Amino acid sequence: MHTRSNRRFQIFGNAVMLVLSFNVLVPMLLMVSSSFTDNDVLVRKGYSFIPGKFSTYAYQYIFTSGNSILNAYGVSILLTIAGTVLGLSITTLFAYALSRKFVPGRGILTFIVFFTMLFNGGLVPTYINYTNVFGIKNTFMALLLPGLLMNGFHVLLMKSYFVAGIPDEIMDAAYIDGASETRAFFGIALPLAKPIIATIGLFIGIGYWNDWMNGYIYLTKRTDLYSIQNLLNRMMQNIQFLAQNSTSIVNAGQGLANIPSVSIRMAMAVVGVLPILVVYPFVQSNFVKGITLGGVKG
Amino acid sequence: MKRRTMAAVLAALMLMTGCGASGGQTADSGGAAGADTKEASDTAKAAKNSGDAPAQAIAERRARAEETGQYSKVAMVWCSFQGAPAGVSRVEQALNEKLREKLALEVEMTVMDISYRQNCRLMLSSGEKCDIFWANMLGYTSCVNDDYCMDLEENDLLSQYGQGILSQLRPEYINACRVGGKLYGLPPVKDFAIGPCAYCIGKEYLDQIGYDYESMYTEDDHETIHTDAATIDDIFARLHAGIPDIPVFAPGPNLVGQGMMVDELGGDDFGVLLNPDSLKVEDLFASDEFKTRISQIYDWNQKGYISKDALSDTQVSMNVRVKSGAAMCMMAQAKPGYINQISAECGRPMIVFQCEDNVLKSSGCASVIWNINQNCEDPVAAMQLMDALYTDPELSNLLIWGQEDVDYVLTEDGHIDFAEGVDVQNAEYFHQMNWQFPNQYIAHVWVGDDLDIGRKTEEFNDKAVRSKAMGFMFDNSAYATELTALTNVYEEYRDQLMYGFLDPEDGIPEMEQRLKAAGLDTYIAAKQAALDQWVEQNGVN
Repeated sequence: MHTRSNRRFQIFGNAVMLVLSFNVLVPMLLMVSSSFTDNDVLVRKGYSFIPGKFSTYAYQYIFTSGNSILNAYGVSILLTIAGTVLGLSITTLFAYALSRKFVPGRGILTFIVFFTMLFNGGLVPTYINYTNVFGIKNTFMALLLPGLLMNGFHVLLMKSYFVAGIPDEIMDAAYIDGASETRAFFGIALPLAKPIIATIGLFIGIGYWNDWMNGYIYLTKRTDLYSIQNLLNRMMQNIQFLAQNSTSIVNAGQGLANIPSVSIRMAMAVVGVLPILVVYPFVQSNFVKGITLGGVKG
Repeated sequence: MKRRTMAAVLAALMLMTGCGASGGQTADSGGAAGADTKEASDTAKAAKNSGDAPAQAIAERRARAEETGQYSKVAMVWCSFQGAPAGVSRVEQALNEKLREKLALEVEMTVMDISYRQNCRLMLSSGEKCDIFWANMLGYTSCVNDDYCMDLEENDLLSQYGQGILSQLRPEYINACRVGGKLYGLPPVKDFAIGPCAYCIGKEYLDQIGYDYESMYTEDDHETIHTDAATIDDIFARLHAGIPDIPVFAPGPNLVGQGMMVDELGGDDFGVLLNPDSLKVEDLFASDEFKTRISQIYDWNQKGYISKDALSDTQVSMNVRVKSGAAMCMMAQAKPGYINQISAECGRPMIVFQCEDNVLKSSGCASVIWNINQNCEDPVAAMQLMDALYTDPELSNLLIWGQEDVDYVLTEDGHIDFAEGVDVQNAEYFHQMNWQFPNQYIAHVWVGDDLDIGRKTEEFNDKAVRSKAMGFMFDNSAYATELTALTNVYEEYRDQLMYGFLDPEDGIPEMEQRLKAAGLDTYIAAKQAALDQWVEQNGVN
C-alpha cells in the first residue's frame, strides 16, 4: 500500500517535472536553432526547430563587428568578482555593526540606510555627482560604484539575520571566553551567518553580471570597458533603431544590408546566457546548500 | 617661426582695430590673450564694420594658443549606430592638424552609439563640455525648451562667423528650424524635399512577369518612374497572378508621412495640411484622402497581396522582408540616388515607381539639426568650426570618410572606395552617418552613387512642390497631455489600419470617435491658431 502510493506519487511527480522541463527546454532549443538559421529564411518562413538553412552568420557578425566579445566577457567576470567581494565585505561589516545593540547612533544609521531604499536622487543628480564630483566617468569605477556596490535592502536583510539568527547568548559566551570584538565577529558571527552571506553574495553577483545601465550611462569613450550585457544591449538597440528608421534616414545601405536583424536577436540571447549555463551546474550545489543550511542550533 | 610672426602681426592688427573702436581702451597683448570670450566677442563686434571678424577671432585664438601652448577645444558630440568607429582618434588628429592651421582650434570628438539619446542629454543637463551636438536625436523642440540650444543669431554670431553656412543654405531651409522666431539650430546641406509614395519593386519580379518598365522612364530621369495609383494596382495584380507564392507588398507604418502629400507641420499626424496649397489645418482621419489610402491597402490585403503574418512581427522592417524574398514590393520616399540605396538595402536591383509629386515641407528640413550648446564657452570658435565643416571639402572628407589611402582610395573615375584590405567588417572609419554631417556634397562620393549627386539633390529640392507652411513648426510643448492621449489612441489602430487588417469603413470612424474624445479638436484648433499667427508674421498668403 505504502509503496504503491509512493510509486504513484513518483509517476505523477516525474510527469509534472517532465512537462515543466519540457516547457523550459523547448523555447531554449528554438532559440538556439533559430540563431543558427539563415536570416532571410527566418523572415520568410518564420521560426522552426530545424534550421531551414544552416548559417552561423549571426555569430560571425557578433564576434567580428566592433568590440571584442571575449574582452567583454573578461570585463564582466572581473567586474562580478570584484563587485561581489567588495560589496559583500562592506554589506557584512556594516550590517553586523548595525546589529550590535551597544553601537551608538545605531538607530539613526539604520534609518539612513532605510531611507535610501525609498528615495534616491534621480538619474541626473546621480550622474552629476558621479561625473563632476567623483570624476569616475569612463573608468572601471563607473561600473563598480554606482547603484550596485551597497544596497540598503541587502544591509537590512543581513542585519535582521544577525539580530535574529545569532543569539546574544552565543556572543556573550564568546566574550566571556575572552574573544575580542574582532575575534567574535570573524570566529563566531561570520561562520554562523554563512547562509545569508551566500544569498546576498548571489544577489550582488547577479546584479553585477546583469547590469548594463552603468556602462550605458558612464562609458562614452572607453569602449574596451563594455561588459557583455552592456555590449549586447547596445548592439541590439542600434540594430533596432537602424531597422526601424532605415527607410527614412540612412543613405548608404551597404553595412545595413549585412546585419542579420532577426537571427542576431537569438544569437545574442545565446551569447548572453551561455556563461551562466556553463557555470551554474558547479555553483548550484553550493547555492542549494547555502540556502537550506542555516537555523542556529542554540 | 614664420607663422608665429604672422600671428603676432595679426594679433597686433586686431588689437589696434579693437582698441580704436572701443574708444582708445588700452590693452597689452597679454591681456588680449587672456581675454574671456565676452570681451573677445565685444572686440569682434566693435570691429564688425572692418569686415573681417572671423580672421580676427582666429588671430586672437592663435595668440592665446601661442601664449598657453594650448589650443582652444571645441567638443563635438555625435553618434554612429554602429558604435564609435575604431579610427576616430586617428581621424580626430588629422582633423586637428588642419584645424590648428586653419582656425587655431582643436576639435574633441565624443562618438557614442544609440546611447546618445540618453547620454547626450545627461551631458547637457550636467554641464559637461559639449559644444556642438545634434538635437534632432534628442527631440529638437524639447532641447530648446530645456535651454540647451544657443540662439545662433544672438550677437550676430551666425551672420558674422557663419557666412559660409549662409552661402550653402537658403534662408527658407534655415527658417524652417526656427522655434518661436529664434534660430536654435542649422540643418545640414541635404535633400530637404521628399518624394512621397515611392513603390520599390524587385526588378527580377517585374522581368519575370514581363512588365515593360523601361519605356516608362522619361528622357531626363532614369532613376524614378513617375506614375499613379491605378498603374500600381495594375502591376500588383499582374505580380500576384504571375507569382502567387510570394506576397506582393510589405506594408509599413509610414503611410502618412511618406505615403501622402500631406504636411504634418513638423510633427504628428493630428491636424495636417491636406495639400501644399492649403493653410487650413484639417483632421487627416476624416479626410477622403486618408480613407482612399487605407481602403487601397485594405483592398490589397483582401486580394491576398499582403502576407497574413505582416502584423505579427512589425519589428522586421520592410526592406528586410523584401531582401529575404518575403515580399516583392515596399513603399518608401524617393530622392536622387534612392534607387542605389534601396537596391543595396534590399540586396537586389529595384525599380522605383513614384505616385506623388516631390514635396518640400518643414518636417524634411528640421529632421537633422546641428546645435551649439547654450553653455558653450566659446561660441565663436564653435560657429567657426561649423562654418568650416559646411564649406571645407577636406574637413568634410575627413569627418565623413576618414583619411585618404588609409580608409578609402580614389578610384579612376573620381569615386572613392575602400582602401585595399579594408571592407565593411574591418573598416576603422566607415560610420555611414554622412547624411548627418553638415555638407556631404562637398565630400567625395562613394562608389555606387552618382558623382553629381549634389547637383541632382539641389535640383530635386528646387523643383519640389512647396508647402505653403514651409518653415512653420508647431511647438506642441503646451499640449503634451493631449498629444499623449491622442498618440495612445492612434497607436491602437495605426498598424492595423496601415497594414490593411482593419476595414476602413468601421475602423476609421471608430478611431475618429475616440480621438475626438481624447481632444483632437482642441489640438487641431491650437495648431491652426499657431499657424495663423505664423502666417501673419511671415506674410504668407
